[in-house]
Amino acid sequence: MILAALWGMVISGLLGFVRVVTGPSPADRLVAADALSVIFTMVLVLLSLYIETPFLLDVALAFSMLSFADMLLMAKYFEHGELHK
Amino acid sequence: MSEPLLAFLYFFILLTAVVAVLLDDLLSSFISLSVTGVLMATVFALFRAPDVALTQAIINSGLVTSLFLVAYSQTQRTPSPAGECRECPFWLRWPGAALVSSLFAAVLFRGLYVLSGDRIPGSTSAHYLSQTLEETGALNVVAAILLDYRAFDTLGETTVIFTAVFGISLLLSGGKYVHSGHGLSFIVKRGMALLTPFILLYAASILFLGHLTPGGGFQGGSVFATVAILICVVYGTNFEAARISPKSKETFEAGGAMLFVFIGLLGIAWGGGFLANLSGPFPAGTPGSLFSGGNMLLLNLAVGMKVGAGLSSIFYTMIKILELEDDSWPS
Amino acid sequence: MTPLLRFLGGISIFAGVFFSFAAVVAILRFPDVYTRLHGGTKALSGGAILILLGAMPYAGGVAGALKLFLIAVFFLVSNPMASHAIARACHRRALANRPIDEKRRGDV
Repeated sequence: MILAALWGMVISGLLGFVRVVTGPSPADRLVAADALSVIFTMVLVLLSLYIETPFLLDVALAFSMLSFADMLLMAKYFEHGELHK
Repeated sequence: MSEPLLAFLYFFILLTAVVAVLLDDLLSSFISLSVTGVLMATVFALFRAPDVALTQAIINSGLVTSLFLVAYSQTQRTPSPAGECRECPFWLRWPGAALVSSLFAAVLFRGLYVLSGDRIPGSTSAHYLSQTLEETGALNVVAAILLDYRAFDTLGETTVIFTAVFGISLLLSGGKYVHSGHGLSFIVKRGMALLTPFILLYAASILFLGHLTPGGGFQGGSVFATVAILICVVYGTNFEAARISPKSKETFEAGGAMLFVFIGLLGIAWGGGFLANLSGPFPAGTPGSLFSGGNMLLLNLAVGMKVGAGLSSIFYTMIKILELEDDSWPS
Repeated sequence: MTPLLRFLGGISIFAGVFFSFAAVVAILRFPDVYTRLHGGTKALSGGAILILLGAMPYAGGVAGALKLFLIAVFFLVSNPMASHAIARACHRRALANRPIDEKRRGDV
């Protein structure tokens, strides 16, 4: 049952990647990459339930924090053209 | 482990990598590569390797992005004149990329298939898996290998980071900060003020509990460096340079390296070898508690200080280079 | 009690997967950066929180359930903030102020 949910999320990830390929501007690609990072954090959580390794929840928490930082960095770069303004 | 899911993730990784090569804009290629990094962390997690997945997730999302963007913002992008450009012809791009990646994937599949077979009894990995708790007192086998069996290699890794920071500081020194107070919007500033203590607390827990749960000094230090970079990005350099001065970063970095070597020398003074753990003066403690594993707690702290301060020093040195008044390099 | 909780958790997980899929469909089909961002992040935040809350009966023990709850709270605070930063960046640089694709106007 969790395997079905895993496959659902991974297929959603593949469809989201289509937007990374096609999106005309880098902003579209960034929106899709943001969604993909959230989707794959959920894949990590579901994996920790599926293969019964409770340590993967730590990995999922750290990854959600770091992907949030990543999105802020890219947003700052898009807004100002530099990271230090 | 689900074989079709693994095969699908492999295909997805190949697809993102090939797309990253074939996109025109460098920034879009980089976004595709960050998706590749996310997928690699998932594949590592599927292989039941939480330490490697944690390291991949932290380094790829936080540090690679910031260092790449700082480097990319310093380049000038002038379009190359037509006719002088000697790029790969279009009919070769897609089939060539597909062929090279298929060959590489076939080699990887074969190698991983061989590796994931039965563990050979009597080999080094079997010894590590069975003897770690008695010989080191730590629960996390990866941390035991990094900080006890192969602690000398970890010293080499910290030396590599130290040399890199040293080289970058030497090459790019002489600039000054132009203080700026822009940063991001008010919502993000207040939100970061709410979240930063918890992110720092979680980074400290990754660092100090490295001998029990996945993580360790390197991962915790990297999250600290990412938080320092994020404070500069969100609040502006005006705010940041007043709080965490570059001098204190250098002190932390050197202090971490010296603490590591000092712990090693304590092992010699006690009669064991260099970086001796349980045969040195360090108690094993009860397995599963915080003060267990001998000197692993202190070594994690040393590596974390070193890596965190070093990686954020690299970022700040590369920012300083952007503030040069004229185009001349500092002598 | 526990089989009931696991059943409710399973329903919540599937609802979360459905909302994530709906978010991806929004990112694919909407015509403009702002609409893609809006549809994608709202549905995806809801889907992620539903998955995390639904996974709580399946995680072993109280520690795992608390960790999942922590991830859910962190998502609730951080994901809208990241989307706000991206939207503001697009607006400031006028990265997406181009006319909406006319032939797809009624296509949402």
